[in-house]
Amino acid sequence: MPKKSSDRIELLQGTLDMLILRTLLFGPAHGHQIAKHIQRTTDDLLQVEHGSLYPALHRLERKGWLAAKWEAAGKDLKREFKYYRLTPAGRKQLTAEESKWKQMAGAIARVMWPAKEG
Amino acid sequence: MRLWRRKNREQDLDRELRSHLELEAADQQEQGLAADTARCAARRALGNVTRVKEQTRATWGGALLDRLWQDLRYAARQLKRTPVFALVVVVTFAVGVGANAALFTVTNAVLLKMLPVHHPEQLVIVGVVGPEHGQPRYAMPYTAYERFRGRNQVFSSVLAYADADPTARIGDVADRVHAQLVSGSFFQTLGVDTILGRPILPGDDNAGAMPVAVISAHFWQQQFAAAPDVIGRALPLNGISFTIAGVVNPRFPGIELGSSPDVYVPISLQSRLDPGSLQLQSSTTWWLHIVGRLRPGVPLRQAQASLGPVFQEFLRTAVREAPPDIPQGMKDEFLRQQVVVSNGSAGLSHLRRKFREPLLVLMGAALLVFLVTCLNLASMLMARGVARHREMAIRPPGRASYLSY
Repeated sequence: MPKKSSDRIELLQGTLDMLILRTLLFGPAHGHQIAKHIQRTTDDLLQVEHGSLYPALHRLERKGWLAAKWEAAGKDLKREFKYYRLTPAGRKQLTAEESKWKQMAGAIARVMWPAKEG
Repeated sequence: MRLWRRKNREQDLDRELRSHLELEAADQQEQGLAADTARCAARRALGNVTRVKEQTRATWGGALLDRLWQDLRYAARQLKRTPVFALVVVVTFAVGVGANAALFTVTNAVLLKMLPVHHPEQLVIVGVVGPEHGQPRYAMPYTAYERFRGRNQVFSSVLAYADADPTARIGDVADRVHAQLVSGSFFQTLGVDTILGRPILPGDDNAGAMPVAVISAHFWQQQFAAAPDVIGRALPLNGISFTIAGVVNPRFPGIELGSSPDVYVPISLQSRLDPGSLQLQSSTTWWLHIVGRLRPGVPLRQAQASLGPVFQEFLRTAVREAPPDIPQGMKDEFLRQQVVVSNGSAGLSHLRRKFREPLLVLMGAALLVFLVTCLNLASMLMARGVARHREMAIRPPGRASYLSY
């Protein structure tokens, strides 16, 4: 069951792109799969409004980090879904964003819990 | 191409979002919700579909153009809804712009435009003021012109001309035409050429010169159907057969703005056109306009100072040669006249002198009226803005922006 909305954390600005790129590292997926994956991996802690996913996907596609294609899927391949796939440029972007995120998280940690150093 | 692609993308997005909703509803159903409740939950999870679409479209680029196109369509719809208002606006603007354009055309022609001749800024008009120092008169006797032509250090050349309206006979039709009697220096001083034949030349100043005429391009087209063999044809003026010698370049509208002569004839033929008058010999008939071309670098003031003594000498000679029965007081007054030189770069225009101030006032008035018109339209639009108060009030809750429609 989903958690109560008061327990959820709003996504930090700018991190959705990174999460999408990271999710697609496993292979192509359509919008609904991406949303579900992010929700499931974070135990429903991160609140990704499904609606905000699509503008982000289209933006990433326009920047050339994702490629999209309609492909048949489902039990008998009767329905088509728009599958997003990471491009080489997207892979590079993911690395860049990841290291940026690590630096920021580290910096925040050093301010919040300074004792561990000395 | 672009619109077609856009339509495709629109369908694409529609399909994408629809399949998302279906998948999400199926998921919810698996967790035990009833079919329609599941659909509602899926919709809730997605959020405002219109908003999502809008945000997605914004990432496509070209959004600015789309927005503009939407604005234009919205504006057109609004105008169609209030045709009377639209008509009032259009008519008001049309009248305002039209009046301004018309007045500016006149102002430009009369006040601003320079004569389309060689170095118009060097041209000056020679006039005379009487002893009472009133407005200068721009008329001189031919004998004065001869003196100015012969003895001066300030002009590189001088021309003289006068208007006449002889009767021309073309075919079987006799009609008055606007003619200008011009000195042989007229075309050379102005730097105006002909498109056919030759202009009036200094040789035409001689007493025994042949009666030749140079016609305007307009007259050539109107009366001779622009015949290329018009040179050498006869043009009877006041019963004297003139030979057409040339056609003036149509770029030159005439030295006086607002009056374009049909025919130019040598001034030496004045007494033949107007038998019985001997104006070329008279020193007391003030009938000629005189225009001089200043030598490069000579200022107006110096020109006037230099012409003064020449003019005084002319006056004294004229008095000496006057019949003895002229009273002394009249002679004294005659001698107290003075020469004045003024700028002629915009053409020797009586229109210009006469209408300068009224035209400026009219132009100003037209501009003011237009300004008032704009103000009125602005306040009308503001009133309409108030009327759209309710529309604006429902925009933010509907999550539509104030500016896009």
